[in-house]
Amino acid sequence: MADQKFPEISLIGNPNSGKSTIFNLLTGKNQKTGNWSGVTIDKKSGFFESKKEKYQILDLPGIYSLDPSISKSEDEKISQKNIIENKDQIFLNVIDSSNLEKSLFLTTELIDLNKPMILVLNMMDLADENKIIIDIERLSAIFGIKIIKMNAKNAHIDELKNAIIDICQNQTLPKRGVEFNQKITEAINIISKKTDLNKWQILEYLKKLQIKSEEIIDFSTEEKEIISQNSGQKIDFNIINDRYKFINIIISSILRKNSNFTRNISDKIDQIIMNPIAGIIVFLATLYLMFFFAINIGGAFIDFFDIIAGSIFVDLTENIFTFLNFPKSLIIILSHGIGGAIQTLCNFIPIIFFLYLFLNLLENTGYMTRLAFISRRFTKLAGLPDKSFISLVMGFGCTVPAIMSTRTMKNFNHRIITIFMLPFVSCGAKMPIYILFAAAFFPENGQNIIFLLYLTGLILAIITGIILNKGFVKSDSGSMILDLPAFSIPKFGIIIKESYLKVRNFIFGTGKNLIPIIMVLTMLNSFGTDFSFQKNNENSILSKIGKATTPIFYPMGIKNDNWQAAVGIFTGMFAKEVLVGTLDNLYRDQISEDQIDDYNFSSDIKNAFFTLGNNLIDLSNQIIDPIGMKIDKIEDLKMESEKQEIELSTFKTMREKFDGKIGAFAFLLFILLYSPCMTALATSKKEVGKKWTILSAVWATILAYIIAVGFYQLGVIIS
Amino acid sequence: MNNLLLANTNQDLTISQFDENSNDNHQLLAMNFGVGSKVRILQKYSDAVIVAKDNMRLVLSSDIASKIFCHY
Repeated sequence: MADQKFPEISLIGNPNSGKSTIFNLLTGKNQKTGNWSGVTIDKKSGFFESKKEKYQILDLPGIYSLDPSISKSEDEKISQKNIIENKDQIFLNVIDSSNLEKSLFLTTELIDLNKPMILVLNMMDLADENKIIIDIERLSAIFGIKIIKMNAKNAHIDELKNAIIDICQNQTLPKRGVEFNQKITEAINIISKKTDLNKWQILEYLKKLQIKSEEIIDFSTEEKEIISQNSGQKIDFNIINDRYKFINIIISSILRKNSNFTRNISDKIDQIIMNPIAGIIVFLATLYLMFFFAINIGGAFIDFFDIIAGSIFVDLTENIFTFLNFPKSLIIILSHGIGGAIQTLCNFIPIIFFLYLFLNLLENTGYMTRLAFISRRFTKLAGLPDKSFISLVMGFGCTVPAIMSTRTMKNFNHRIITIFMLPFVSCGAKMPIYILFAAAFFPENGQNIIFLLYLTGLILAIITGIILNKGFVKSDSGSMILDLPAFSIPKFGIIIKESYLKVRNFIFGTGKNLIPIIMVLTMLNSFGTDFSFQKNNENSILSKIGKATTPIFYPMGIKNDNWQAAVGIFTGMFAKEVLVGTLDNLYRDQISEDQIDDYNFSSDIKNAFFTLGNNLIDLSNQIIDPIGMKIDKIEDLKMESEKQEIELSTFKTMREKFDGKIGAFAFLLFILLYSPCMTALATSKKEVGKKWTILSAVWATILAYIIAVGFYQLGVIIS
Repeated sequence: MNNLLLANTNQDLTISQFDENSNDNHQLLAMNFGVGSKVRILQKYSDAVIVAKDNMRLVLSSDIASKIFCHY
């Protein structure tokens, strides 16, 4: 097979050197994203075909150097490890032509590894703009490496593909690397004669003066003397200086540029968007747009996806297996278990797609790096991780994309801290619960109660973040070196493709975790203790668990006859808004039997498009209030029950069962703060692993319990 | 000789020395931000500076900028 015959081609370069654009141009549709082994850092790989042979391309995270002491983030370490340890690979070193000196530093290190290599001089248009002229033929002759020039307008992608095919066949090695000073060169020569180490490995050996046992060799006393005199930490700076001396000699012979400093277009844009005051306005406006784009515009498509997915994966499945006379229990597992989980997953597709569309747009324009800097100025005030502000804002819409947005954080501990904070941020799915309770208990001042809940959640999120950032999870010192990329006009096709890949990764990654959980919960909610199918939830295993655990919630005002509230807490784990349906179902006077309507796919399709149209029209009403916090004073409960599609008797029973306003608010506090829904937990597991996910859910639930109990007990004493 | 943090906006400077105790010198050197580099301060904040060197624009937090010495 071609995969065995041809080695892997690794795309290597500084951050923002345009590697991803080249990766997209090379691989087209033939790409996939996953995680690097053991860590949650995107691994992008793909291939292109020529004459029935496949050429594997790996897009490595951007780095400035192979020196492990320089790398601070996980993705840089991954890149370095892959470059150094993967023996059968060809380097495709992508260079920002407008910053040749800086880019060539990594190139000289790669040459020292002695692997087949192609140099891609990218962003030639930017170099032209800055009146930088590069003698490419001369540069190619000096290194003995094939050089391809690229720019945004004229990609030369076929020339690059031909160069890759050629180097895979000929395995041409670079001819010339850095000439270090005489003493280091002497030490290199002594070691290279007696080992198989390449130049980069020898330099690392000299720096650390450590060698693996199988590589121990006999040196003469004189040789040992030379080696020891040119080793240790002290030669670190000599090596870097020698590299730059060598680069400067090359630069002086191949590059002509205007040495006078001129502010380019990016500098002029930065004068506004990085301005201490105007920059914050642009930052807040960007966050608003991101929220509106992902949550409101993306949210307008949720009903559409819900109806279509429900029609296909739940109703159609149920009808087919009913027609085939499958046992009822199996039909429920297949349709409401597996089908229901797929339906739940599908509901998140539009908001995740729109979120990534926006994030990729920011990344590809060059604004994301600026956003990180300005966000840091906010979060630093509260002692929180960089970029956590962005995720918290997203959390007001939905916890799932908010968790996914933590992937933009390079520091893994920052991700953990933010994921611990997110359950306390009131997501949109909790709003129907607040409105239900506001209508039943706080008709006069429901809006204030909802605002109070949002505020409580935000304060607890910040406290959690500060506690973890200061002590529990070690974060960095706050030092920062940020390389600001020049602004560029993004390619829309690439943004769409990258967003599609993220959604695909979400479906398969999160789906793998979510489907078994939803299946188990569905079974618990549909079967009785004798494993017979239950038409209403009251006799289900989940209800029995709810009833059995009601005494646990007694200290926060839930009495034993209010077991429905305890059941609601459990079903709320499916998705928070499910709690409303559960309470309505269990509190109403008469439990109506579920009737299976005649399945009609075309009617579902019509309905899906109808809701989509309505939701898109309704977007204009959400511009001023994207979270939907504004609710009118509730004067007519009957009208409100019709509006919320809740039985009027449900409100009456709720008032009887809960211990007045104090009991209701204590319950709301618990709902606000306890563990996020299963989809959020499955996403969290994918991002930070099982241990941190369980810990964050336990932390949220314990805190929810303490605060709800504390509020209720205090409220009872005061009143 | 002053540190970068004390320079004015739009001032042209030459890097003359690094604080030897700084952990970030390696990274700055790898980014071609070494002694002898000619730089210009583009923007200043209470906690950071934006510095230009050729076509590179770097944001340096104040703790790092204060350990980079320069002359005018």
